[in-house]
Amino acid sequence: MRAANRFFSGGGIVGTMLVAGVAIAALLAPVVAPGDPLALIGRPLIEPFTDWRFPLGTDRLGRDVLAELLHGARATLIVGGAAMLATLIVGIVIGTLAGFIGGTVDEALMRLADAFQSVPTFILALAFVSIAGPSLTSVVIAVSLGAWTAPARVLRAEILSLRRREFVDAYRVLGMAPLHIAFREVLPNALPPVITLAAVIVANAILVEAALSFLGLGNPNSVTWGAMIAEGRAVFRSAPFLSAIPGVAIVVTVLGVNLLGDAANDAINARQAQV
Amino acid sequence: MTAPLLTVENLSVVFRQGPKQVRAVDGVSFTLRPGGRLAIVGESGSGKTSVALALAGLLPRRGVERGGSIRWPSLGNSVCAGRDVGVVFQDPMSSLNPVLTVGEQVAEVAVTHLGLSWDEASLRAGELLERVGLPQPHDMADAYPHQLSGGQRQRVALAMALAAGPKLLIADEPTTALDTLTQAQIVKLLDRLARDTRLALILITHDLALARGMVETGMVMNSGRVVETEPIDALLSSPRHAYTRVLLEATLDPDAPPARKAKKLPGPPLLRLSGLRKGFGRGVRRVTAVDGVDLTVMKGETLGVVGGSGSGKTTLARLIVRLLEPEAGEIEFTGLDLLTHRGAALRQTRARLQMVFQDPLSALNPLATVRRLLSDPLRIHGHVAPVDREAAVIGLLHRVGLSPDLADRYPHELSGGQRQRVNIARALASRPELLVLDEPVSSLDVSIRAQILKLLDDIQRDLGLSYLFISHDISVIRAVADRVAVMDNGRIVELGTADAIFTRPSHPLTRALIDAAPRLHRKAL
Repeated sequence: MRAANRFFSGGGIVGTMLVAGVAIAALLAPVVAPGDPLALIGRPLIEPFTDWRFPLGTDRLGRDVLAELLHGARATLIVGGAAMLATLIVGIVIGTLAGFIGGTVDEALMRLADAFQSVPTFILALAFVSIAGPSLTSVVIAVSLGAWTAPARVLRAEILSLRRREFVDAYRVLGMAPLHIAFREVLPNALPPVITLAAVIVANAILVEAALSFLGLGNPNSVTWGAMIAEGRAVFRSAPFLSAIPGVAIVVTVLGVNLLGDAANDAINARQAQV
Repeated sequence: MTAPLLTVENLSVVFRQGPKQVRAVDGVSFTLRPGGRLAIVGESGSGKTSVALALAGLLPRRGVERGGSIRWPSLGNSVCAGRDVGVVFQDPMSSLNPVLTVGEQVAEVAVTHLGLSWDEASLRAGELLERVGLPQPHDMADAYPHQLSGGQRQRVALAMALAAGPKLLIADEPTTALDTLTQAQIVKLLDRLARDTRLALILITHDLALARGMVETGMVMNSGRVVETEPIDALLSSPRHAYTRVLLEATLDPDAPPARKAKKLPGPPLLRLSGLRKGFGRGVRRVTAVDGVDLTVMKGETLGVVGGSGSGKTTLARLIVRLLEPEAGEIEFTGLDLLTHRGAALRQTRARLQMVFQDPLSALNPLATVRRLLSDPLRIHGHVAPVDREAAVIGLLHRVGLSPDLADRYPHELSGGQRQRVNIARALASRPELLVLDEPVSSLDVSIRAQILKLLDDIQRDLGLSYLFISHDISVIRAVADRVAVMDNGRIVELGTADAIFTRPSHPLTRALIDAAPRLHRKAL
């Protein structure tokens, strides 16, 4: 009850509305703007709000900016969601094993994490995409490569402290298999701080994707907000709206996801205070 | 007649959290003369600690409403916690700052409240550490809290409480975290300090026997209210209130004859340990926790293991249930060499050899319901068909005296006693022959402790179980054990029937443990 109250207060409501708005836009894209968003269907460089057929105007090549924006929302959410899942799965498995088994395994996994953390996240993503070639999958993998270390470290620290609790010994004395104890009994207790990390990972993934697309390393066959900004750059002085509109979309989405993450954090803390 | 030091009238403390409110203290009144000594006795939830916090001005500011009045007639009314009132808490580790040396912490109090310079304060800190009986106080002043033993830390906490020369010392369960011998030393120290400096003392405790030797007045509290306030001797010899009698009856007497007459050894041997050894650390920092222990537990008996903290009791327990691997020695269980068991064979043996842990809350997964906790062993050992599991869980709950309604509760929704019953039920689920009980009642209230000991006794009688019962409290061991092993420094220093150990203790440590136990009545000579 109190945890739910804590979630739906101020920032939580705004965050939910923003993310829900982006999600609805993504879902409605084929309805509002059917057909290929990359089709050249109008006169180039129509200003926004001047032609009712193209409410947000057209770009340099005469493509509908609204259609691009809505379809871009899909790509953005898919990249954000998929990167979060991939990052959390890798981070959770590695963090749990390192924390629970300890010893050499812990050392090896944490040095691996050090290696990944010693390279700036974006350079890592850039290197991977330029080798693997631009596609949605490679962007997701590229983002996860740099991000998995954060949940892995947080989880390892949580598991290390939980491992000393007597209930873990009690399960061992009962004869429960170690992996079952680690993943089914201890892990759920360690998840709350990682769940709050999820929002940061999503926001970061959206930004990295946008930046890769901006550099021309996104999937060339799908519209993304980063690619739209890059596209508008050439005419930035005469038609700044082409970069500003997707830019605002990115800001709104990342802000929404972060507010949601903060609210989830507060709700989890309230629940833990009760326990 | 001098003015009283402290007058408390109709004190109430209400904690508010959202719509919920808890009346922790309800209409408490008492007075204390300068140099007077009062014990506030009660179990957890009685409000005794809230009274102490209110007196020291340490109640949280938000979410708390305080009613009634606290006045200090002989001090004027500008009383300052830390200067006029010193406080010592239960856990000396968490009340000391881990990154300052103990000398600095004691000196800091003198700098803050007496306006001394750091040099003067350091000198004073040295004197104080000497007064609280720390060996080599000037070397000790440079130590950090983690380098000290529990008893030494509590002495440091006491030195801090006394640093500004208070008129009143509030000691909140000051010895509960310590073993029997250390407890007796701290009690003696408190007594001496209070007498030397005409310091008034308020002792907060759950233990009537501990209060007896230290105070002149006892105030018994239950659910926030004062049950009765009497001179301590009258309180113990002729309690007027039913609740006081409950507390008295639940207090174990270390001088009573052992509860169990040494039966003819029931035998055959169930568990045999020989030459068991386990150490931690390397080189000069190596500590041999268990150092060549030979011990046998017979079928159907309770073997009590008693010793101070650091004597190796818990390591011994963990070796037996294979949570730790010994460096040397043998463990033979029902004629099988336990140490050679691996994998499935080990799992099978584990079913017959279970353990109950010390901290009933920490031993239960916070995210599992009671039903799930009790189903786990049934599922792992598979001796109950899945369709019968629900009935088996209900049966286990009955067995430990819990209502089946509790099956859907989470551990934090249970009381301390209920939690320990769930722990016992879980250990019983795999139908073991031997239970290793590691301090199973040390964290429980006295009245709950009596119930759990009775439950363990009933279960043993009905199921013919054997117990290896570990405790630091000789009075508990006296109440449960057929035979007793006394441990010190990883070795068994004395082993015998309960009767022999308690009537004719031969090792000095055994005698010291028996003498140090708090008593409700003066020991007959």
